Amino acid sequence: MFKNYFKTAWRSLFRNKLTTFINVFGLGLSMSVGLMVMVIVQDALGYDRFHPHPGSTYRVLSDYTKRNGEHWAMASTPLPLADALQKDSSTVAAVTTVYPALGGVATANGKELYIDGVFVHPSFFSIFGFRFNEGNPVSALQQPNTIVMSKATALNFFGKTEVVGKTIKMANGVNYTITGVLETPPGKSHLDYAVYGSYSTVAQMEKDGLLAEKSAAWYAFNAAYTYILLKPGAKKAVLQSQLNAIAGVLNRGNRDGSCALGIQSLNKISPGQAYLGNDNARGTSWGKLYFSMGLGLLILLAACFNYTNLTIARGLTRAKEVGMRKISGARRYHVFLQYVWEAVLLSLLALLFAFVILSVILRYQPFNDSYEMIPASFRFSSRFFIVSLLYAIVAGTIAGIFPAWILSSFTPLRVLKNIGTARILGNVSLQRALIVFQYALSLVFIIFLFAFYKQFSFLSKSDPGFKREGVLIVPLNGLKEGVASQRVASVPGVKSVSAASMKFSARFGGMNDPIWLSDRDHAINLNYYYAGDRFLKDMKLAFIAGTNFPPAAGEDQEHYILLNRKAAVAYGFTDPGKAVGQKLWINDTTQLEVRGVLKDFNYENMGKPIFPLAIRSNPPANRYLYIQTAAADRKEIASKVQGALQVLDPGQPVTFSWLSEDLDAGNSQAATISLLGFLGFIALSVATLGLLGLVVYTVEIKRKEIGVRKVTGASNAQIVHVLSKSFVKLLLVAGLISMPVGWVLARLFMQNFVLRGSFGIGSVLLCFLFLLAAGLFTIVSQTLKAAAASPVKALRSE
Amino acid sequence: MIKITNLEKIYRTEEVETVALNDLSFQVKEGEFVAVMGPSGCGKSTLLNILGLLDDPDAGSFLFNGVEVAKFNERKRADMRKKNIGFVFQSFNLIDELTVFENVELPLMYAGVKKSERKARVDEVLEKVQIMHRRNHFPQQLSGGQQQRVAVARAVVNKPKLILADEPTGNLDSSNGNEVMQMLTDLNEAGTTIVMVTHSEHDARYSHRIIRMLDGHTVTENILV
Ligand SMILES: Nc1ncnc2c1ncn2[C@@H]1O[C@H](COP(=O)(O)OP(=O)(O)OP(=O)(O)O)[C@@H](O)[C@H]1O
Ligand SMILES: [Mg+2]
Repeated sequence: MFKNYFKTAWRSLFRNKLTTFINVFGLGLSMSVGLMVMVIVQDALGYDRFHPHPGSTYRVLSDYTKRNGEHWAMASTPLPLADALQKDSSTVAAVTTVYPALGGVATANGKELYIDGVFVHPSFFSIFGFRFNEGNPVSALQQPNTIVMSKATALNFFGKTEVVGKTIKMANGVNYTITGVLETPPGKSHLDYAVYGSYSTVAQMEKDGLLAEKSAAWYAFNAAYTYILLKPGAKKAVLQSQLNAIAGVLNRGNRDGSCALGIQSLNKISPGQAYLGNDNARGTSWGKLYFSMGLGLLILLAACFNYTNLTIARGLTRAKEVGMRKISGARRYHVFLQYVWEAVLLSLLALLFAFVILSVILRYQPFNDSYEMIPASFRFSSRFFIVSLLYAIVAGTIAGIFPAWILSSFTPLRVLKNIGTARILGNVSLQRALIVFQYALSLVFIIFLFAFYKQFSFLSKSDPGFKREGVLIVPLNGLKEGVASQRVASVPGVKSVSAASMKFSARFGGMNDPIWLSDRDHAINLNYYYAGDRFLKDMKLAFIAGTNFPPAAGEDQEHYILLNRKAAVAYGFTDPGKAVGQKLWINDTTQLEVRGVLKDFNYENMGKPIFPLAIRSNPPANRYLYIQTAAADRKEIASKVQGALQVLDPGQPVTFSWLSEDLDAGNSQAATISLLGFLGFIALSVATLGLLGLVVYTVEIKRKEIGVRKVTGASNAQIVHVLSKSFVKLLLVAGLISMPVGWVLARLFMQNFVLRGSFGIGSVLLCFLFLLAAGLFTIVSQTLKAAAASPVKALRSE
Repeated sequence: MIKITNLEKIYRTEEVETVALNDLSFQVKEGEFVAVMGPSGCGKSTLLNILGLLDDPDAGSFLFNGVEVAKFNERKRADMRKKNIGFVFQSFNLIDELTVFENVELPLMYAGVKKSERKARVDEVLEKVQIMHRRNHFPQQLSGGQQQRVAVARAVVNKPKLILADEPTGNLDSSNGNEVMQMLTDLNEAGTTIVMVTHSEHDARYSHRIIRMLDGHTVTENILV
């Protein structure tokens, strides 16, 4: 029986090549989106799979409610919690703090690199599954001022992993002895840092004023993260009651509000939850995952509708088959199953096509730039194949269930009498509704895409507030700024050389610390960079009050700080002139004088709101050379600069980039636009193919009518007009529905930007015209063909 | 085997009511070969559809092997049909996607016959209708006569007691037509009851008895043997 289904289905697919093509192409395109979503989901669910005790490892969560009702749910906890939990050995096998206070610029082996680091307890490596390449996991972090680094970090600094015993120095002057080097982790982890320092270092640093005193601060819920490994057989509930007891003690001594502590299983951490503050989860969040799944489903449904549409339309030609099967003794469910199976078979073909598309996408990564839309680390697995097979079967069933229901309801009599064939479909109102839906959907897509494109091309053309043309950026990678600048300055075509600690990029890449005017409690967490006076001059950053750093500022000691206008306002100086001369505390012992206030400039992506920013001077912190070049051959200058620097450190390749290109890459959103474009293309293809199918079908059943009309003297144009009229109406209806929707969506999208491009009714109409043209082409190409055909054949075949 | 009394069938459309069968009564005995004749539109096909349990009458009684089937629901009719009746149509109604063999196999498959037995029985009837050499061809690759022979093979493969044929030679030339008529005669001689609608006096002469209809009613009956 099944074999018979298979054969019939296969042959019928093969015979109706056009319909099969339409279905496989449309369904395959949209299934490729589904596969992409699966890739994203698989990636998002792939965190923290290699840790040794997934079932008994927990992160402690905290919850704080102020008396006035303000409420925070946080993934972070106070620092003293870990030691308090450690004391109870009946349930807890190991506890560690993860205290993210170790990051910054580090020097080792004569190289300066920015690294990301945390302080952890020695038990960290018994709770988590990181393996040691060098060193001993048990003893590595027992002593203060010891550090374990990732393999990549060791290679970056030293070019090798045998570095145990060597020293690394952080920007705050603290030295650490390297006691271990990790292997590259076998999978992804939400905890993934360049260095792990011993927690016992923290106490001394707090004494020395290098770290804020938090290690005994029970109410500093933002400070760190706490992870617990339960003893085998220990009950979660017991741990929870311990935490409740701790929270109870804290609440007794607190009038401002109350806290609660909870636990979260290790494998529930990533993907993150939106409500959780200070979340250190990696990858995407559940919200984004649901959104992509919804989008994939929507597109899939549109393609399934096509199949439904076309199959019901073709039911006409298959009514005879159904009748004969029933006369031969088939029950309704036989016929029903047969047609569902046929849809499933088709959907499996479409899956093959979708896999081809997916492989191309994975290979060429058109949707990835700084943000990885499709994780590049994805590898095909048998589980992925099984899930996608199930997906195809479900999709096929969704597509096939409705036509199967209708086709299997045909009574054999219908076939014999050859009546009501035209009426099988009613007046095809369902098909029409589906076509309208699909076109409306694709028009919304197109409008949104157009708005998106216009907005970002507008942004990439707007003035960021600093000089962007002809600026070559070269990372110092441990070279001394002075020597490097000198060498570069002598290259012909170089006008000036300056340096800063950061590179302008899509997201703020500098530092952020509390800085306060007089009252520590009113400190502002300020973004800041390091840069010299030369940099401000070269980059044409405009002052609205005060002046630039003096030359050679910060070389012996730091005295001055510059603010942007937003920062001046944040400290209460609406008149920027008043800010100049004020002194700001950057830590408990150091004050800096505000020397100037800068006009706000876009130091992050254009269109993002500008946040308060400070610029400080500390030449050793500068990590990039900003080279102003004359408008000459860019390639030539770049390679000459490379050559000039290469001799300073022959072992290390000198890289470079042009500021204007960096900014365009960040602002043009090429990857997102190509993704949206791909989705729009799919939506439009699916809609057009659906329309094509319906037009072909209509023309087919009207062949005789067309023949008669021609014989009685109608011109081709008249016939095309008669046949096309109703379809054009569908397009117009779709346009009327989706133009307002698309326009509103586009507007909402633009609300996210401070700088907005223009997007009006004209743009919306333009999109509609484009869609109309595509639709008209589809309709007219078919109706014209039918009109031009010789009527003799059509009439004779009756 | 068939006994109908006062059968009535009325088609109602928005504008008109057509009385297709009007107070129609007759019998067909087991083993008989009956031809139904009459002008176009007199209700022959309607009658055959009711006899074939594809349609139900509006009034009257229809005894099939002594069982009253006039009020059977679709499911029961389908069951009865499957076990007892084979159909042959003017337009052969073969399934284009299936080969000759598979078309003939279909009724056996839906009846749940085992594969090995299906093959034996299909081959047997294909042999009988002399189409064996074409068993793996598709319907479009056959001539009209060959297609109708396949259709007959399909109608008889399940060994039905009754074969209903609606103008089986209507689309065939005379030599092909005669072949099909000869096959029906052979089947009848082997014991199958046949009711055949035809416009051809020549074909009607193969039968035992001719029922002539006019406006949904029998007018005369000619007994030929
Ligand atoms: N579904 C229907 N709806 C309305 N009227 C119908 C329907 N089917 C048949 N009729 C009418 O019932 C009458 C009998 O039709 P039927 O098909 O039985 O004629 P017939 O004797 O088989 O004719 P022919 O020799 O042309 O095949 C005709 O007048 C026909 O118009
Ligand atoms: Mg008829």
